[in-house]
Amino acid sequence: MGTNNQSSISPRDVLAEIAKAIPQDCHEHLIVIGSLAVGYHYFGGQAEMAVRTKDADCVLSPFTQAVPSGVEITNRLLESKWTVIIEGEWSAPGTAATPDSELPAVRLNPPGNLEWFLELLTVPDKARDQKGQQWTRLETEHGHFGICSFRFLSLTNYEPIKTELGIYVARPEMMALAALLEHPEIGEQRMSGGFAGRADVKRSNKDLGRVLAISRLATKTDEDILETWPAIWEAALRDRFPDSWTELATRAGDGLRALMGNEADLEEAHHTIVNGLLVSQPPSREMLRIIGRRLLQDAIDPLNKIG
Amino acid sequence: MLGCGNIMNWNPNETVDRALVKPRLASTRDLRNALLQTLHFVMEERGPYQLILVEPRVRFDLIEHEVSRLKEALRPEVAKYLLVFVGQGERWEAVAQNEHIENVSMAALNHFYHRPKDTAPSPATIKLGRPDLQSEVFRVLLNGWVHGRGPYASVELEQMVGCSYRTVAAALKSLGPLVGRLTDRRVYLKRFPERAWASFTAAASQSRSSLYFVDRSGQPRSAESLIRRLEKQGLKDVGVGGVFGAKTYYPALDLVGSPRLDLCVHAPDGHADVSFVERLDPGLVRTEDEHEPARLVLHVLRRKESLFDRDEDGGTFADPIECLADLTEARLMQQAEAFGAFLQRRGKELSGNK
Repeated sequence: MGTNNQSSISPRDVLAEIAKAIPQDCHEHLIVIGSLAVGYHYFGGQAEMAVRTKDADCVLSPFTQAVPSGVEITNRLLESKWTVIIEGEWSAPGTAATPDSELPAVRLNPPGNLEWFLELLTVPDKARDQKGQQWTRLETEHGHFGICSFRFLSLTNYEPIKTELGIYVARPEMMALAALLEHPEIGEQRMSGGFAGRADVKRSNKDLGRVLAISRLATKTDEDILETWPAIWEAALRDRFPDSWTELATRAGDGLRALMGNEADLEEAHHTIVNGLLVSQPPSREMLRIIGRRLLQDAIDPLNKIG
Repeated sequence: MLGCGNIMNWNPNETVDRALVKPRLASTRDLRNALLQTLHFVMEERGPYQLILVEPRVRFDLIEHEVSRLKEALRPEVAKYLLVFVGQGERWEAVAQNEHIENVSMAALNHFYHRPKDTAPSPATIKLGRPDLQSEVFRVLLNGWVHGRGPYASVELEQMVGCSYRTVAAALKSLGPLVGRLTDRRVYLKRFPERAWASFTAAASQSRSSLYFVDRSGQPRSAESLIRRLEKQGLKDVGVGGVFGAKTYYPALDLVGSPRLDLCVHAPDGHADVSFVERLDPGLVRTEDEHEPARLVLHVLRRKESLFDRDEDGGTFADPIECLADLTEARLMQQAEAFGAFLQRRGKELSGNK
């Protein structure tokens, strides 16, 4: 969830490097999300299919395991010559005196490679109905770090898919649902560091653009797969948000509708997709609009009705 | 300064004077016609005239290309008065801007975005021209022969087709000796009318109204997926035709190499509601360019009774004669020949060959 000077990287290579580097007993607690997870899911086996991204977002799950696994992974990686990203005010690990919200995130480059970095996140604490983002402290042998959680990250550990490498990737449709809920409207927040040569890209457009990219990749392998999403979305929402799932199901997709109705926002989303997940097979803007309408018809409208 | 704008800010009290509005323009040919029309108004008015394209089906860069080419051919003092705007989604864009475009009010343009929805028929409804009811009489008789139905009294044919006695009489006369008549004046086809069928198929584009849709998604849905989605809609006035319809009557029919879906839309009142196409697939867009390979073709049936068949699973199918016509129209000659031979065998068996 960091900078956006993307490199073209192979999802398979990155996941293999992560799986190899982290302790074996942490494999079952680590779920890769974001572009790399989507890329691995849809074209992980194809060496020529690259994804343009900089960050390998890894969610620790369940929450009760986040701190011990996070500490173990961070210690192991730093001992194996992974390096802390020095960025702005977070130039060094924190101390016991650093407030939680000011702790640096665990963002580590692999040894001798500045092309991408691993970032640790965590699912939210199930006991708390978390609203915005929250930080949890990791006290490692190398200093204090924070791992961030967002309310809808809890969807990414719903029936994640185990890879042959031992670690997990989130289900693409769950990442899509999390983004749809995270962005009920097009917010004004811009991507820090811009995106692929543009400084003004809104985070909502980037994240909702990824939803469209996931839909396009999903329908490439199964033309009717979007129709299966409402059922698994409903199950996940009932499980993760038993008190508010109907409200969430009813409003899911409002942000996407706003995106589809605004040519400038759609253009930005298109820019992030053709310079990101779909760099190998870039769709036109018209194609993107169509996949959005298909997604609304097949998956989002039915979910809204269920809600 | 006008280049683009937000459609939500429109003020209904403002209007654009001297404008030609074209909603959902379907082809380059239509665009050229619209440009020429606008040019005609420019010459008449001796001043600026606007062509307003609301959600055109033609790509913006193609519109830009056409406008630029036309302007190159015009005298500068005429070209500067030809103003073209494209409204798509919530935005307006001016094509080949000049100083006159800067004086156009965005809110006034937005008025036009809404006007077609309010005052024009829904673009999902296609108003059709005069039907060829004699051809419908012929196809009803032929369908009866294939199914072993009939003979028919003239009044039955009038009711099935929704036409007058004279139309039935004219249709029967054109079939000549192929029509058998009983002593009670009921009529039937004696055998498969090969020449009349050949004449019908040769002129089918005039006697049947057909609408063509192409895929713009880059990931076209299969015909099977479209059929399944059609069945989910449970429409009574749309039947599967073409290869997929024919196959329900003749399962041995070869399906290889047939990505196109033909559907019959029953529209006896002359207005075909095609809004279901968007629900089948938002990637399907109507085209009038015959060189574009169609993924979906709608054939509009104008007679009063559709003669659709229904299967146990709730599927609705066009009658076999419409399916045969679809195969011929799609130039699937091998399948048309095989299905035609099957229907002739069946007709002989059920109705005889007199």
